[in-house]
Amino acid sequence: MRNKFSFSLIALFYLLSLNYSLAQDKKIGDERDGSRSKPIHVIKLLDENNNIILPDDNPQFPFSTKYTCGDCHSYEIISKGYHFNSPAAKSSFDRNGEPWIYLDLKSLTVLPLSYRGWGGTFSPEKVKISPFDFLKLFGTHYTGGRISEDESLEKPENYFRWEISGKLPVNCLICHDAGERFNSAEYSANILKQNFRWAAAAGTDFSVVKGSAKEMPDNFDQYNSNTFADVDLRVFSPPSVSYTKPAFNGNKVFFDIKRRIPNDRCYYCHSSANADRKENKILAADEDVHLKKGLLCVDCHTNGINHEITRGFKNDAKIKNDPSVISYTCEGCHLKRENANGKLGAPAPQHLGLPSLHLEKLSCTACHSGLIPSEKSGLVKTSRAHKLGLPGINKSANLLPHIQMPVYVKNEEGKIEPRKLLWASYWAELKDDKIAPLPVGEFSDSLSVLLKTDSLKTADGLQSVNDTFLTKALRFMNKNSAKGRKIIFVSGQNYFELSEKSELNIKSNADIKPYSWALAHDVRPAAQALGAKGCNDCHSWNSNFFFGTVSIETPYSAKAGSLKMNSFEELGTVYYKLLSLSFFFRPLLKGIIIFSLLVILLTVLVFVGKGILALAKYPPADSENNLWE
Amino acid sequence: MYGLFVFLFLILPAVYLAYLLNKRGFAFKYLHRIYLRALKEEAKSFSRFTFKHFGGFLPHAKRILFYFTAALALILIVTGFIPPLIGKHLYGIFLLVHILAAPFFCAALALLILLFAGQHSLGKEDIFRLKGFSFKDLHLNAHIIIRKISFWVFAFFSIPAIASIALSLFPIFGTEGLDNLLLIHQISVLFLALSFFFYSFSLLYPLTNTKSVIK
Repeated sequence: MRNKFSFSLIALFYLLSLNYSLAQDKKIGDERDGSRSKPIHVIKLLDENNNIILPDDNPQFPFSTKYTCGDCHSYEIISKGYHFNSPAAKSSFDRNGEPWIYLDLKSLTVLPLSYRGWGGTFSPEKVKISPFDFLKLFGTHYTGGRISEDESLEKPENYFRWEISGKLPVNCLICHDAGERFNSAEYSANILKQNFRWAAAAGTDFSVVKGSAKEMPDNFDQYNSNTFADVDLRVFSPPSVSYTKPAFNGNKVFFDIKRRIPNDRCYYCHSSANADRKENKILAADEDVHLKKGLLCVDCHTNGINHEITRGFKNDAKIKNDPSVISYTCEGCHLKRENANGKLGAPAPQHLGLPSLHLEKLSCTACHSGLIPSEKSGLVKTSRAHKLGLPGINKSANLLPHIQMPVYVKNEEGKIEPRKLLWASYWAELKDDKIAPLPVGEFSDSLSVLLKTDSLKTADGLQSVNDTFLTKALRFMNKNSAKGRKIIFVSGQNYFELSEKSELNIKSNADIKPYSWALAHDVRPAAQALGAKGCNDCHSWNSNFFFGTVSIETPYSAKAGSLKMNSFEELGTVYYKLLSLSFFFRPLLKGIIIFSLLVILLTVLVFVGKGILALAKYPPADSENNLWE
Repeated sequence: MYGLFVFLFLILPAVYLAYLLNKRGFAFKYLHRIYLRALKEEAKSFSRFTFKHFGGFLPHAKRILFYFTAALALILIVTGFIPPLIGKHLYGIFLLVHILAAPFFCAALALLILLFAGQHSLGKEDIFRLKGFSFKDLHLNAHIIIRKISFWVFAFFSIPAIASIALSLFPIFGTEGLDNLLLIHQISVLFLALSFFFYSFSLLYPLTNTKSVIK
């Protein structure tokens, strides 16, 4: 009995202490208190060593978001969020997203990269792009976190550069600083200068970051001027930060932080510009209808402290193991339910005259998102692929990489959805019928001489190559590779290899497909949806939805051509051509059906009438004396 | 679910009727021959058409119309019921053939009902035909009552079957409404097809007395 009591007491004590410790783990800003008002952030600045930064410090150090924001919010939890991390194991429910696109005009390389293991992309590690190189290539639109701060991922050859540039922790401000004067482009500019440690401060309106870590020698030490004595300080200065004193309220600084992030912050990394549009002009009316109605991106793409942002597709609920996430999909908001029409009484679609088969075969976005399909898929420029938003970028409409949109593709659920599409082009090794891209830059310089791509003046398209050039390049690469290694060139729908007689062979492989990813925005209202003008929007003889063309992008001009949209939709040409004919004759068919119906209706009515009349006359009048017979 | 209904209320009765005919020695393998032979004969007589003898050709025209409608009905039954029976929606080549045949069927059906309604009107004598009625052993002329009733069932259910599709061709109803119209169409055509089988049974039954169709 005594033992039982002691055991219960220990268990109770353990539970209480566990509860206490869990409560201790939560930081003040991890949980909302229920107030709808905006939390004002007048906070201390902390540097990367967790030391407070004072206005009169000399020298001044860049503040670290990891410690400044992490003082009240659990950085460890946040940094595992979707934007800053990539899962070790890819969920089978995951959906392809926009890749990072490696572009090397010299070696004719266009390569979709991702740490997320999306089918059709390549891991940066596999093509020997170290985290440091990744930041150099794509850091302008990278939010920081994981690869930019996890020391276990660092490559030894980048050790000194990491020491100079510092780590790039999750930059909370790039999304949450709602200040009018927050400068995302300045953050990007400092990433290009490899001022990773300083980049977050550079974006704020109370800091001025100067200098370039990129130009500093490997032994650079900011406390020892001898280490950069050889640097011409009139041209390059060591990275430094200075804070404007009036910004300080005592030891604290005001950050204009918002939970409901303004759309502009999202747009910095998630803008898409229709490249065909003259001068990249974006009309004010051309925006997602939800945003025009007053919603913010984050109203649907929401998250908790874990920053597992809702991506808005059906299987996201399965990935997050949270059924409530489904309410942030199109159907979740707009389809009728028992209690309400989704969120904020979102209008339930009537879909007048639209058979339900369409809802089974098409995603909502097929009719409501992106541009109305035209004869030929257009080019689109995106923030991340074309570094939109940075000062001084090339604004050419046809700037590489060429991303086509809208391309209607059958997705993993068997539904047709509009996507953005990219044709890859790269040098690879062929082994057992498997294609593995070569490390980027392995032959880049040699190739630029062989293919004569070293004198390129334009970035509007990959230089065309012919058989002679490709043969020469492949011969050179195979000769200079390890014995038994077979080097090929993958481009468009084919790969190019040398036969034993050193002749160029063009072959196909099941793995060679363009990479595509779903587009969901801008959403068009019902009146502008595909089909709003009638069935002929899609079901016409030359419908762009089925028979629009998608260019095959390849520098090998003989294989550059186009494919019809229905090949991506996995739908037959003959069937949809014939089906479109039925819509052509539909007015006539309608007339026949209605006329036939009227004839049948009248005939039946006449005979029913006759029957009623006969019944009324029965029995005959001569039987009036025998009423009940 | 609809596939199950098709199986229970269409396939099973059809099989039962076929069984009854077969039991009486009817050879189904000769069915298409009977159909083609009859069609050929009607076509021959129609080739001798003159306006002077218009009245004499009307029965031939009626028969041709009947054969044509029956063929279309068969196409619609096959294309319309096979997909739900295998748990699929009407889609692909089935849908294409179905929607192409349907308007012609409607027109032919309207004409057929108009021309045949008089011959199928129910009278006092039909009550006597019902007395002692049994599918297993149809007495003299009892199949006529089956023919008449199935004709009117056919005519009656063709109205919602066609009306539901006609309405769905206009942007009046939303997706939910269209689904309901489709349900009306599906139920109506189930009765339509069933009555078609009974009608065919009533036509084939007397033929079992002739040697040409006996095994």
